[in-house]
Amino acid sequence: MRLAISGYGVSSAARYIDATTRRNRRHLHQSPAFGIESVLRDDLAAAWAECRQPGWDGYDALPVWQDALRNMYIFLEALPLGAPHPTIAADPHGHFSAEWYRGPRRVLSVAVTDDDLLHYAALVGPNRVCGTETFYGEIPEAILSLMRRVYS
Amino acid sequence: MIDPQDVPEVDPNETLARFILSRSHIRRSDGTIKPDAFVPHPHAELSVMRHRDATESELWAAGHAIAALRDRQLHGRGDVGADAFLQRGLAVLAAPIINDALLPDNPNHAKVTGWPQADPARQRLLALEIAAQAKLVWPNT
Repeated sequence: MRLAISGYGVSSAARYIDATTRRNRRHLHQSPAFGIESVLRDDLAAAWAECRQPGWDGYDALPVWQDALRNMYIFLEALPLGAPHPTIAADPHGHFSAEWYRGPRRVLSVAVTDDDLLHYAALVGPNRVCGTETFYGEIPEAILSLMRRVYS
Repeated sequence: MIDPQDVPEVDPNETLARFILSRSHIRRSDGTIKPDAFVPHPHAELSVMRHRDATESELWAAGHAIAALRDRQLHGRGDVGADAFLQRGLAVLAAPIINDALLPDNPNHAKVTGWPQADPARQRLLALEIAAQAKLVWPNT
């Protein structure tokens, strides 16, 4: 699996801080009070079990590979603490998707690819938005902003 | 079912069915359908089944046949009007399956084409909008 190197800081101190932050955030994610892992791990595992064979959607879907699983896991770990839980699905491109849904016009869907891209689409009120961001291990502001709008 | 010898073009007022074989494509919160069920792949075509001249039994038989081919469970189908695709610049083409080596006959098969090929985000947006217009129908037993 390739994971693009974060552009935030290159000194040894910056790398230490970055690694410590990630470790602490992972620890908090595992906490019942703050974490998302305990809730989403089962959903992710269930989706992966369902979508590992070619044609799993009854048509020509690609199987979801381990790289996609790992990237989705990293994406979920990168969510801000206390963020609303997304639901997980797989798409026919062999990617996982995370969705935040409050209604037909309050929805954000993000496909996490195995080559470090995030393809997102959202319906927020009268607005329709889509785009692609590179995933450097942190959730892009464009996606965080849409998440906030879905829940505003 | 449609007469395989006389397959008409798809009318914008027709209802189309997309069979759902992944539980993760249905929102448990309110029984609506996620966009992933309508994302086309791999040829930027989406297979659907026309309701035209088909009974409920025939629709479900086709869905179960698709599920059986993949040893999967049929979780339901998403019914949506053809105009949901047409309004978004997509085309819906009659594509009957007759005497195919791999697939069961289905004269009511159609394919949705014209998806933005190199733009997965835009595909997802179109799928999101179409899914919002689709109605989930739970399978018969």
